[in-house]
Amino acid sequence: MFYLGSQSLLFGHTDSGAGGFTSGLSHPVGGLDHILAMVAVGLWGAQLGSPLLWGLPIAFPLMMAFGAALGLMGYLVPGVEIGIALSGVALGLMVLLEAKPPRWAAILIVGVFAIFHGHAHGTELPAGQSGVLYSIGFVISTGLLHAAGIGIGTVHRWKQGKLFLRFAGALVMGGGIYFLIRALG
Amino acid sequence: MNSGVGPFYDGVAHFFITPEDILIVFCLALFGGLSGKQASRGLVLVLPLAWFIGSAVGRFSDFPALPVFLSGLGILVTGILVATAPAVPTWLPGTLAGVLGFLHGLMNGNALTQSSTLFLAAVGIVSSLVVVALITCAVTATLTQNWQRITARVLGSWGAAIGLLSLAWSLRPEGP
Repeated sequence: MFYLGSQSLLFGHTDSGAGGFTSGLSHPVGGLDHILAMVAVGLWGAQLGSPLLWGLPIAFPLMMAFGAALGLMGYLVPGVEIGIALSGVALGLMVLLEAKPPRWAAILIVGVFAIFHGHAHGTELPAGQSGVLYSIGFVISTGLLHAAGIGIGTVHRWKQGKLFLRFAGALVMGGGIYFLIRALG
Repeated sequence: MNSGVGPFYDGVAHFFITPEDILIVFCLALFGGLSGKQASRGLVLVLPLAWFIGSAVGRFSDFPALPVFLSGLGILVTGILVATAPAVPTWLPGTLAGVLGFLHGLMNGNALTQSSTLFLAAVGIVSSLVVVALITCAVTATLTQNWQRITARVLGSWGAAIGLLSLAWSLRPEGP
């Protein structure tokens, strides 16, 4: 982490920026709307169990990277802020209801919302940063948020834990509704 | 890169301050490890050799500079292979390592044009990547528990995501 975070590194190849890792690392945790959705992915994965326990945290960063790629290359995705807010509502609702849709549907839900989160990150990339280091920080941070959700989700094995997770889902959904009202306002 | 302690260490430093190089070696080694011990052995032999040859070609020939996006594309493809962990023939990881190692070696050769003692610098790079590849392959090839292999595959998906972002970064309208 120290190595990656050092801003004084010189790079061997052609990236123009010298920094970026800490920007990438901090970006996904810079907004509560992002945090809620990413932790909810981990919580939902914990409720769904294997293989979606690890399938969702694989799908989300990949689709988020796809969304970020669209943002970096200048492609517009309509309603990004609304999509991000809706992701909190939908994922929170899934956790609250302990929904168990077919695998493809769960991956589709997570993947579609990940595009909105990724697009927001891709278009907000600060100038003069190293793309590779930013990407590394960005993906690690997202993965760690999922891992935190999965870690919290391990309480699912206990009866009270299941209730706690559903309560957490309600909180995420409430946060999503708040951000949705703000995005629409 | 001038480390101040000689060309060999210039090469070592060059490898460890070039995240694209570390990432591709790490992803390739994960792929080799997940493909089994025989595939890992082939990969660990082919990768440094191809990298070294690529460095020499990049330094001493008029080979044109490679487009930057190739690096991200290589990481993306390898990361997807790790994440999906398909059943592949044992020669495939070594062959992929040969191609990607040669390409990254070429980029290193272009970047090391300032070094008057390329041979030692290239040996430094190759020695460094061998250490990373050997350790990663050895650890990954001996993973037996399902959750351990899944962890390796999740890391591969992270690699693929980073590769995709790097690819988009290099192809964006403003340029890399």
